[in-house]
Amino acid sequence: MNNSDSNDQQRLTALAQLQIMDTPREQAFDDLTTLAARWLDAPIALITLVDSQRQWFKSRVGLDLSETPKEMAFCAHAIRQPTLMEVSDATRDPRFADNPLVTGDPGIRFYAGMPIASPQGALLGTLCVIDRRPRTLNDEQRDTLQRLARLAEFQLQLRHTLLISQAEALELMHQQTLNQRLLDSLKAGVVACTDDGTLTLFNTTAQQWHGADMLNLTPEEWAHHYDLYAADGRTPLTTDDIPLVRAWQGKPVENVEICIACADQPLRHVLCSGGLLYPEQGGPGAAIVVMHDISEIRRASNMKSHFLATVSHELRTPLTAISGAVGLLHSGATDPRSAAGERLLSIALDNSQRLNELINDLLDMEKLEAGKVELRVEPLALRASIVQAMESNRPYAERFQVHWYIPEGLADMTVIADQRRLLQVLTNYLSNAAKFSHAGGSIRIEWQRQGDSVMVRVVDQGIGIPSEQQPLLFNKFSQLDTTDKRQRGGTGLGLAICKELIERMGGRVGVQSEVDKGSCFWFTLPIAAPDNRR
Amino acid sequence: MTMILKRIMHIEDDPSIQEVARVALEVVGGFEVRSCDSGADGLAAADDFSPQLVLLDVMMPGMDGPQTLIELRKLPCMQGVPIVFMTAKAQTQEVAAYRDLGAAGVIIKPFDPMTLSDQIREIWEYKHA
Repeated sequence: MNNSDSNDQQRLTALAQLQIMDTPREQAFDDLTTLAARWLDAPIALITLVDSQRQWFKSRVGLDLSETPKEMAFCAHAIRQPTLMEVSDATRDPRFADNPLVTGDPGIRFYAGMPIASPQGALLGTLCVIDRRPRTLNDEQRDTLQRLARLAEFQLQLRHTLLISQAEALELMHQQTLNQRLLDSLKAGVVACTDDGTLTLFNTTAQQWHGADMLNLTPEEWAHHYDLYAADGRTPLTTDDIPLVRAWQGKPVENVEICIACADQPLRHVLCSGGLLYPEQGGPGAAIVVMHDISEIRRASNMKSHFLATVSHELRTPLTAISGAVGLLHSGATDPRSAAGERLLSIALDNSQRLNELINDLLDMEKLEAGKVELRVEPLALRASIVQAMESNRPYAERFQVHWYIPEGLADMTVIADQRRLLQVLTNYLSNAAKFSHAGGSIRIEWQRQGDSVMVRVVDQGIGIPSEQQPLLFNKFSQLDTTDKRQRGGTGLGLAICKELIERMGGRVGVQSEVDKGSCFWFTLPIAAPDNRR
Repeated sequence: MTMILKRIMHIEDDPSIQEVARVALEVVGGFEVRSCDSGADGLAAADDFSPQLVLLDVMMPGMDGPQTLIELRKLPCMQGVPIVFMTAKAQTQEVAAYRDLGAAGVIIKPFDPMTLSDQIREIWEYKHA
């Protein structure tokens, strides 16, 4: 690329950056051409800009054309050097004598053009005056033309600065939009305040958690208005303990747990981290705090602790009976061969079995949760399985003096299930029904086809279960919250295990119950396709 | 002179523990024991039995141990009668809570049937010292 090409490229680049070609007239440029024409006593004054094909007039006085081809342009010659180009009589200048602008309209004879440079120094065009008669400029006129050209450059500089500012503003707006979308898409709550403690940011999550938008409140009003509590969920936060206040004061905020209360929402435990936005300036200052919802973790942790404490208690209960009974026998306080001694032995034995059942339940639950229980599902005759469960649990029925039966007329069905696990579920349902029934009560075991499934129901006429407890019955943790589990024996994990097993076999579980009227525990299982039947 | 402890009411919903404790207190300790299955049973029997000390389980269906203690305290016949919790729930903060409720002592399950009576006598004597 030679020097001329390089200049052309710079000029074209500068013109593109200025975005000025073919723009409407502007007063500032028109003033310059008007003054140039007036002060230099010329009929035509132009501000020209030369691109690759043409010279275009940003401003013009005394000429109707808006542009001419580049080949005709005097200015295309003028911009080859940074100094004033003056042509006294174009008819005598071999560069222009044949120029149609000379030989025809507007009949140029005199031309004086001062190049206009871009802010980067590329020569873009000129401020020029044209006359239809040969003439020359005096020194003062030349100086005037140069000064006016510098003013034109200044206007271009302003335009350049304005464009940059607009681009930066646009970029800033895009950045702000991006930031806002980012903030609003976060599952974390983000809050911020200015250096005078005015709330300045609540992202969407924070608004949802607080059930309110940010208001013009003082930090002293935040805890009350936004229902902030300490990690215990009960003690209202003091102003100095609010994480955003601490951050605003320049104090460290790292994984500080607080609670947010909000109508129609459960108490929310959040972990807060934050600090000053400009830590180098110290506090009090603009600050930001990010909050992560740990309610689920806290709930799971509490449930786990509660579960462990309850299981521990449940293990100790039979252990207490065993060790007490054995201790009395071993010490000789009670003769093992006496009636009281035999009773103590029986207590030790019963509680050993209870402890064993409890441990089996716990292991079953653990295996189910870990996905370690392998089921051998196969087509099974439902009636035979139910009859087998009724037979093997007959001692339960006798102990609680209940009678269980299958109604007449129920057609047998073939279900897809693991035989051992189906018996485990039936045993659990039957033993629960027996334990909750009144002596002399009846328990009905029935089934009914429902589409591709069969629903098996174990219906008792026992004490029933309050409606508020029913949704918790199959929950392995919440079920242990009740203190009447000892009436049922075991850990209270039995129904949770049933639910896991039935769901693993493709069915569902449920209960309907009414206090003092009885309960109906049910489960469903897939029915075997005809070609799978034995 | 310390009054001799004779009558103990034991409120416990687990029949096995109830029976083992009864044997331990009657045979080893020589006490007269009234076993109750629930807090409500204990409240109903209190006036008739007039216990000198109550041994009370914590986790029971219906009315639990702490609630039973509060209700027993409302009975005229139970004024000044020491109430001792017997429980497996005996972490430090739990024991502190029982004491705050006014429990005279806490016996931890599993208990030793051969020393249970001695433990109760110690509490009794401390209370009447």
